[in-house]
Amino acid sequence: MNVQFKKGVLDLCVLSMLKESDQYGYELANTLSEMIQISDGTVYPILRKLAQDGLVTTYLQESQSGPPRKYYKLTGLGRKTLTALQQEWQSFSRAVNHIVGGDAS
Amino acid sequence: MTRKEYLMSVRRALTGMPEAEIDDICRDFAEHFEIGMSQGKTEHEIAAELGNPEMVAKTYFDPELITVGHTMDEIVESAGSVDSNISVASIIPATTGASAENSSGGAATGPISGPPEKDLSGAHLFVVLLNVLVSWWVAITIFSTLYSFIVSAAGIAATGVLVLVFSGFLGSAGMAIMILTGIGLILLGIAFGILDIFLTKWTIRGCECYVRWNKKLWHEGF
Repeated sequence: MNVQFKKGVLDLCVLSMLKESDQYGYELANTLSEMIQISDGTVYPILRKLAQDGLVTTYLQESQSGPPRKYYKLTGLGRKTLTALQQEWQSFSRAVNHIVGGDAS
Repeated sequence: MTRKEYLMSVRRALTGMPEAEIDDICRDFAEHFEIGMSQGKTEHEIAAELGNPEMVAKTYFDPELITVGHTMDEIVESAGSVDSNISVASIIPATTGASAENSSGGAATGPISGPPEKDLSGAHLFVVLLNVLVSWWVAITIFSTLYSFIVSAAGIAATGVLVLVFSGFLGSAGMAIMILTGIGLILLGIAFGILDIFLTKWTIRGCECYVRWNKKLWHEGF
């Protein structure tokens, strides 16, 4: 899959995945790498940047197996940003589909 | 790569960051390893899935460098850097061959890179003229110098061997001096050879930088 395509949408993907429920890094990394072929390690720098920008917060939670896990949770700002990004993405992808589909000419 | 090696690589690549932040980042990766292993994966599998630790670590300094590829090609492309394992054969024609190589190199990153409305003809002209008028000759000079260097190194070492061989025909007093001279010359030849290998390595690295700079100029202008 084209690298340039993925770069811009990773933030949007991560935020979207946190919309329904809080998740820990491993989960996010696994799902993302399966769906859009990225290396797992990519997710952590993104999560850190999102936390620094105040879009997500983290908390530790015990698990039945192994050590406590760091969960990521959307903040209010994160939700707002997600909604804005989603709208942007919808109109952008619609326009691109339109052009790629040949309807624009 | 084991978990320990992976964390060490990440830590090393993060040098310069506050210690507390480095610890925090390493904890994230340690947690990733632990969960993966509890699901039956080996350390090597997990390390491979995480991707090149240096590349991942670099992303913390500059989020623009996000390495989204699984294959090395994709990683190199996305990071905009050329890895050191690039072959000499591919780099030399790229340096000397001017515009043809530059434009074909650009095609790989996709036609959508760079704003199309920007007028790049000036930059293109500059890159072509620079390569035709200057770089070509500079590259030939540098590489022939390196070549003659390694030939003389071999010559010096060979002389040393000859001196050793002929030392057998001399009397005992002269022989000791000749043997020492012979060994000295061989060592000198080897030292020159090693120096030349390093010089060649640095030159190739310089060429890579030069090609990158050319590509950037070609696609983005001044």
